[in-house]
Amino acid sequence: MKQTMKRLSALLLVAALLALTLGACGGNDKPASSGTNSGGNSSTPVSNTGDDNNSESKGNDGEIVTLKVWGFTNAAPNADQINAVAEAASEITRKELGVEIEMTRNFDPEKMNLAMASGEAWDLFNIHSFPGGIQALVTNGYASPLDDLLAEYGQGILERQPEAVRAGSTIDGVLYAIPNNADSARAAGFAMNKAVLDELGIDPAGIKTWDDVHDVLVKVKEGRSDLYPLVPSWSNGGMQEVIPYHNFGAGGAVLEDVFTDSTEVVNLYATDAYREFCERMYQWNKEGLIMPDSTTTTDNMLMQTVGFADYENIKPGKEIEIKKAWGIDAVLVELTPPYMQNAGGGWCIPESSQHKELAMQLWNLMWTNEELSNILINGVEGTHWEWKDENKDIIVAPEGIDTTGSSGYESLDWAWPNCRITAVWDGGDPEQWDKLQEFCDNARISPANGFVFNTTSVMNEVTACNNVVTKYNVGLRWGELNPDETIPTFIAELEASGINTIIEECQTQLDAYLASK
Amino acid sequence: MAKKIKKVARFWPLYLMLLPGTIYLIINNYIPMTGIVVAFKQYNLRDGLYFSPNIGLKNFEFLFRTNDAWLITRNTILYNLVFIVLGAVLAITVAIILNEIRIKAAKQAYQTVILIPHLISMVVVSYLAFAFLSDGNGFLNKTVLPMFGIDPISWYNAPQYWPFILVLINIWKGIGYSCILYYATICGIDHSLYEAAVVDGANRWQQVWNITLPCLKSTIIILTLMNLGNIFRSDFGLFYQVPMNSGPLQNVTSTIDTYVYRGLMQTNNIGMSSAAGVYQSVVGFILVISANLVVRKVDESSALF
Amino acid sequence: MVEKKHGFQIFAHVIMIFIAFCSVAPFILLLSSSFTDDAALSVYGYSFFPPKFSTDAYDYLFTSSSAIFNAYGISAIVTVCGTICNLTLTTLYAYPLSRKDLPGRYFFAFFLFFTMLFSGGLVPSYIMWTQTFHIRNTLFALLIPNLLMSAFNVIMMRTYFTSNIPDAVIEAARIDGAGEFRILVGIVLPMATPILATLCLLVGLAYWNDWQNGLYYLTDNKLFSIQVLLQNIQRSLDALKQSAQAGGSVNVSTADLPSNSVRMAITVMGVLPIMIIYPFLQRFFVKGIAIGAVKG
Repeated sequence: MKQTMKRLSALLLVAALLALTLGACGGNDKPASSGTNSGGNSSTPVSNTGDDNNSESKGNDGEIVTLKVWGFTNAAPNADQINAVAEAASEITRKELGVEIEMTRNFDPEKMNLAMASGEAWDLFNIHSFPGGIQALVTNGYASPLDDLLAEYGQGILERQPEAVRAGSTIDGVLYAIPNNADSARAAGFAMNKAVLDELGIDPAGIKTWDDVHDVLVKVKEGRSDLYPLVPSWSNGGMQEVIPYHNFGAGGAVLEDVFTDSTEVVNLYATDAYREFCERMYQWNKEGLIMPDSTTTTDNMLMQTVGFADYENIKPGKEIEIKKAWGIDAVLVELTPPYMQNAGGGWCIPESSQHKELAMQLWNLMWTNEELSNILINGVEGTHWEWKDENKDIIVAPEGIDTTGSSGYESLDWAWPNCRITAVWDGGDPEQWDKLQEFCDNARISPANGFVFNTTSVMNEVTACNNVVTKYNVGLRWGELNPDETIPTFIAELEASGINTIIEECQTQLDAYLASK
Repeated sequence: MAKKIKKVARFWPLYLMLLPGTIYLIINNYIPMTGIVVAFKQYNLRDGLYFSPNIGLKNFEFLFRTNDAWLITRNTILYNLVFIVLGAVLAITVAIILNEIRIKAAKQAYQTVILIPHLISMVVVSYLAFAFLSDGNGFLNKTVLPMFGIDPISWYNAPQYWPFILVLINIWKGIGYSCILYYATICGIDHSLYEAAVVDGANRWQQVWNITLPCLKSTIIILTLMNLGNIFRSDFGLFYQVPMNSGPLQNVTSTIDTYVYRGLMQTNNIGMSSAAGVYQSVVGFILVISANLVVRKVDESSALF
Repeated sequence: MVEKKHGFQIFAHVIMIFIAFCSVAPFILLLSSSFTDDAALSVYGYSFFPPKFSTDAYDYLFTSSSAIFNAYGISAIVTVCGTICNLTLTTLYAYPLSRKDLPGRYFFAFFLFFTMLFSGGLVPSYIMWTQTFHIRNTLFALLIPNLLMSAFNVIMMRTYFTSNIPDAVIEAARIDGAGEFRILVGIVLPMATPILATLCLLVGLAYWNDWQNGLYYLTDNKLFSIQVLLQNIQRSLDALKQSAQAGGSVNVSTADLPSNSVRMAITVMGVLPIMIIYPFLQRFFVKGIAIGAVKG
């Protein structure tokens, strides 16, 4: 025993020593110390003449400031290509703002999290698929407030984006992120393989309701026994949402239907819409219209091989996307009309940035400068694309370069601030951006738009409910579980896990928000 | 006192040997380990890991204030116990059998081949498992079960089979690795011991019982102690990816790690996920310390420390 | 007697063949899937013989990255250097721990074991390695974090020393006037070849298979090891496919990109070199120098 005590005390000593060492290192973990940081939030920009810009951008020793941009990509980031693009983009930014940019693109949530949590000095950061989304960015203190910066340097953004779109990135009245000028709205329904429809002589124009869809699926089952009529959109029971609820991102607390004016927070899994959906899917499953293994499949491209239809998001230009993704012509059946939904995309200026004002100016430039936006999204002219003709509005792959595979510069247009000022790829609709604009402008806006639920006080309940949801939700949605038996158990378990506490808290916060508006 | 110092000083070359490892442990493990404090904090970047506001044990609450607390703890412990016991017994058996094999080429071939499962990542294992178990194209439903005239089984909706499937996969994947650990020790046993035993007329079984197993004792105890330390942890891939995150299986596949992952995936709460890790570590720590005390009473040379 | 021995040999082979079959069969399934046309995989599922033979997956791997051979080179360098450094550190730490007469050995054992249980998580490590040691985009990133010494290996080696090397041997050497380093190198290590070979294998595997260090600390393609490179291709391919469906427009066509077969091909390409090298290592899995010889 004595020996143990001795050893323990020795250990404590070591621990104490380490704590001391760390005290010294601790400074490293506080990149956002008040000194370097005051530029962002409290800065009341003095004067905003061109000279002023230059003096800041040149830094203290007259060197050109390099802004670090963290872009989002889904493709293997090929450092050489990205550097080439950053180089080309710097040409423009040097001319316009006197800054250069350095770029990294990544798709790995863990890596994004590390970059933020370690306080690396990024100046512009793409928040798409950041774990925990805007809420986590704000509670962890990663994102800096943008209102003043936007008002001062973001005229181009303010002109082009309706305020309602930004409302979802505003927490407690402070703006922390700006969504991209892409598809801020979505409709939902089915995508169906056009070739199969033609073969079976079904007129796509006649498919309007759930019952119509059902009839089509039955015909496909009879006529094409080699196909599964309905397949998941991606692996493990992936499904694009067709129930138009407003999700507060906490265990199942939602507004039931964004198309009504009701602001009553309810439990999604106890709603009629959810029950009807599950019952329908259960029925379809019994009729053999749904692929077996749909909740467990490892396959991401079933529509290309064994599937006839799947649930899809719908927006202008979707047919071309599907053609690119699966190589099939698709017919889209819209069952849920368009409503505004911020998918969590957008950018922020990290708290750790040393050049917040310049970052905002660069951001504004990305929104307004067609050439810059085009380079960031499509790459370098001549290397990654070239103009199709003199009109300079359609671009094609340069001759002899294969754009499939990952040899070139791939990017996702919606992941950049403003894709609507860029050129359209050959084969696309030249008017696609205007159509998208119109689509978004006409989308329904949820009565709770702009409200972000702060879950801090109900975290225990949220964790428990999330676990209950994964237990039943996918199985119910794909009709593998009998709703008559399962939904009551599901609801009971959710209630035992505190869904009502979450709903209550959410309602209180929502009411307060609506009252303050 | 002076005598003691002199005694210690005599060993200076040994302390010198310990030095590089100690430095590495301090840098690689102990300095970052102080980050554990975040489990007791409401983290925010501005104040950093070490200076965020303290909130006591609040981050730990979510682990216990759920109806599933008992279920996930039970699952984690039971699976680990089975893995430890069955894994050790089978790995030792295979190691002994492997050692007995005379044909050198065959021995090497077996040795190489049993390591293959260890080299395949859990994600790929989950795909292979799916190849056997899927409803539509799975081997079991398509080929094996019809041979015996059994109706197809919807494996991913049938929790009763999964304890066996998970144990099977774990053993399959891990046996090669622990087998070569035991095999190394067996290789190192002084052959003169066996020769003497043969002279005394001991048969093969007696040799195993009286020589091989006693020589393996320390290795077995040490490996078990180390496994005990991880009894509250689980292989995320095995319990999440292999069952394809299938809801109906959750009662038998949920462990502390999958619970934390499912619960916190959408919230990115550094404090809470750190708290879960601390909880797992502390329980493992207490278990190992107590087990080690017992081992020291019984056989001091086998103890961990 | 002879017959009985024979019977046991046959029994041993039967058991081992069964186990070997269980280990190899899934690998063959994997190999076959990697040579199957990706569309055929989703139609027919995985099978032991490709229903539709195709080398698309490998073509994709080799065309999507010209750096594959470079990456194999990096992996080889890192594995060799890392294994040597690791075994040196491990031996140096394990041997004193095995000496029953060393004052404070329990403390050092505890100090070591404690690291197996408690960890501060990724964030503090990341901050330290990138901001204090600046290992980002250097080969050290693949060598040093977490892999240079593992408590598990040290403890395994110490256990081997305590249970397989008699104190008397060391005592005898000391009386002969040998220093501690001489004893370690000249007497203990030659007797420890089985555990050295085993740990060499385990450490080598850990280095060869590691991709996390590369994921966290590398952005420069030229430094990617084979696993980092393959993981990168895999992850981005998955993500590319998913985003194409999740409503993003991509300026590449993903329709013809293989996916599941690539996953399998990636495993094959990571595992094959090990399967080729491992048999050579096995020569060392023989017993060390006979203890009697040392004593004499």
